[in-house]
Amino acid sequence: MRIDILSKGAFGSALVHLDPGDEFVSESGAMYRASSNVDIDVTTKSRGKGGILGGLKRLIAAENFFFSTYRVTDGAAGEVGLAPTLQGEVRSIELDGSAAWYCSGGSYLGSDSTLEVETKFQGLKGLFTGESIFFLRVGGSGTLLVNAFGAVHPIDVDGELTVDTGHVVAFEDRLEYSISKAGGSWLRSFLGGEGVVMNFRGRGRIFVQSHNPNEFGKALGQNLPPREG
Amino acid sequence: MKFELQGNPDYGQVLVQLDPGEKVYSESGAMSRMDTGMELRARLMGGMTRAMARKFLGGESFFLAEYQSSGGGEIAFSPALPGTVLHHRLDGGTVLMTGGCFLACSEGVDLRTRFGGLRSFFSGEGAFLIKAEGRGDLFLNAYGAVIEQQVQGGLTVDTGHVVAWEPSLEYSIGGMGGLKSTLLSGEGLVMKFRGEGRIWLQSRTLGNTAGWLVPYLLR
Amino acid sequence: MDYEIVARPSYSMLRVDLTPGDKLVTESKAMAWMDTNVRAQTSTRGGVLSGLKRKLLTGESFFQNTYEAEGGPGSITLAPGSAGDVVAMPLDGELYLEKGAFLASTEGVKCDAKFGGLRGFFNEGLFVLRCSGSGTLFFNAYGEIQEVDVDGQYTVDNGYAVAWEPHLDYRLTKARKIRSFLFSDQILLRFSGRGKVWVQSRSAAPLANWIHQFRPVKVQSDD
Repeated sequence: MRIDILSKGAFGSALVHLDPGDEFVSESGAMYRASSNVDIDVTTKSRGKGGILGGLKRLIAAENFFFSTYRVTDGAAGEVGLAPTLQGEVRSIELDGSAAWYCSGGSYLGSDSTLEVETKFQGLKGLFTGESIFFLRVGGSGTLLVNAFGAVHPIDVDGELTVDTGHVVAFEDRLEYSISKAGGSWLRSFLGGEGVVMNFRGRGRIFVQSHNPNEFGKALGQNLPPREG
Repeated sequence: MKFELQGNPDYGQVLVQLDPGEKVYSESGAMSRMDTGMELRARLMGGMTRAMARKFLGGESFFLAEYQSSGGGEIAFSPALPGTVLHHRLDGGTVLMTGGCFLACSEGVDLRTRFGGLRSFFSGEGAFLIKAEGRGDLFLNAYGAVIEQQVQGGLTVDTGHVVAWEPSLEYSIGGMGGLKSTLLSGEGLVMKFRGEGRIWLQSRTLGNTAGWLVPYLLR
Repeated sequence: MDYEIVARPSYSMLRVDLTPGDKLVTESKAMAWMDTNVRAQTSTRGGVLSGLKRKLLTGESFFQNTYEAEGGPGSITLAPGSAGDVVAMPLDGELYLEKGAFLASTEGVKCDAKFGGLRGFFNEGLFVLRCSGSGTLFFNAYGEIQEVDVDGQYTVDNGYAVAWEPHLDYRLTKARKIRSFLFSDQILLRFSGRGKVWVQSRSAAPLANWIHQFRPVKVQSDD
């Protein structure tokens, strides 16, 4: 299996080349092009854990309820293209088993079927401001694909870093983190328009995205006709 | 204050390095990451009346976020809409910008809301203005690419595409042409610039993105 | 008539330099800026019925604008609604366009709504634009544009095929093994034959689903 990240300018996508026997998993609906010998199997779970309950948790995590699994059917090589919903970069992360990664809600694009994907529900703190914070935990060995809204900036934290929750793409689980408000008090945060931030501590790698999907959603959403209930 | 523009032209943001005690102001909600220990205050820029005017006429936030750190530090601001971030150095000059294009500024920049004219209310777009003057660094954001043009004579621009312009240009807001063209063309209102001066235009508008998406929306 | 696609490839725009006598037909709302001597004419192009079909079946505008320069050369710049690239395509024959992809054309190009085929998909709005004639056609994509040379068979999700050549056969199918009672089907276009397909790297429908949570909520009336 080989993965090409296709990108001209602002829009990344991934073209996964499958050999017979390879399996690749994505959030369902991410497939946008494929050779005709690729079979798409939609399941409620990724691998190992989950089942229906796992699926429900994924639904809560604003991830699709279903994962799609791709494989070739006729003994020849094939290809499947995966695209995120929002514009932005796609990056691959190689996991060697030494550290798991946390992926924020909408940042998971796909993974080797050898990787284990589980949801981790992050408590109610984040819900206070209407922003929810959910993570998928991805562990094992293999390739993980993440997407960002905008550009990706990898940062090697050594000490402390404060990141607005809307800008977190993924981070290594060796980093400690806590969730708090942006500065001083809730009132200040609210008036200053800043919601919840994550304070990272320790040594490890984090991917941040240049733009915040929530801010974009609010700006565009205001310009759209109202929805029913 | 030192700064670095990153990610242009597709995903512009500005990374600011503050000296101890120095302040930087941003559109609220624009902070993406910062050194731990940065102080945030909500500020009514230019006092209550002007802040009110900005809120109700300018569409910009009522409050600006003021960041300061006693020990100095680094902070990044990114706009809600992806595109190019422009830096404009003010040395006593003036620049005019449309509602949503303000991202951040240093101390010494004075922001005032200017009323774009009553007719702009009917356009449903942000044809109200912010006038920036003083001395300091100003950061503007555009939705999409920025195209800078030197106007010589005249230029007709869909209101949603205007980012900023020099005060040497005069403008009026109106329809495309006759009543029929204005109503049926779907173009809404346009700004007609006259004179000589620089103008900064953006290659996408939020209104047209919304219009493009409407046929696909869920109920 | 000269043209240039500027700000490529992420937020592309089309700039056209018109000399008197040139006519540029555009999607309504596409004009971003222009010289003051450029004039617009608005019409249903091809008659009311054609305009209505375009509007109802493909979501394209009922009206299209025709721009001309008066009294000397003039330039006009057009912007699509979505972020992404613009393609200029010399046309002498036919090309199928996904709804929403039309940006502009010279006068000799006509666009008509055509049913995408396959019974049972009527409600999905699977209509395409059939552009024919000779001239230059400009279409836009959400995201980057990938050209796929089909030789045999190739599958593209319905929302990502922007344009394709008319001698390609295409068939709409649903992805296999998807439990349709749980969520909407993924509808796929299966192309066969030899020819070119232009694929965009993003699709409007997933964005529309995502933005749902950010839309204002309709105020319920008591009845």
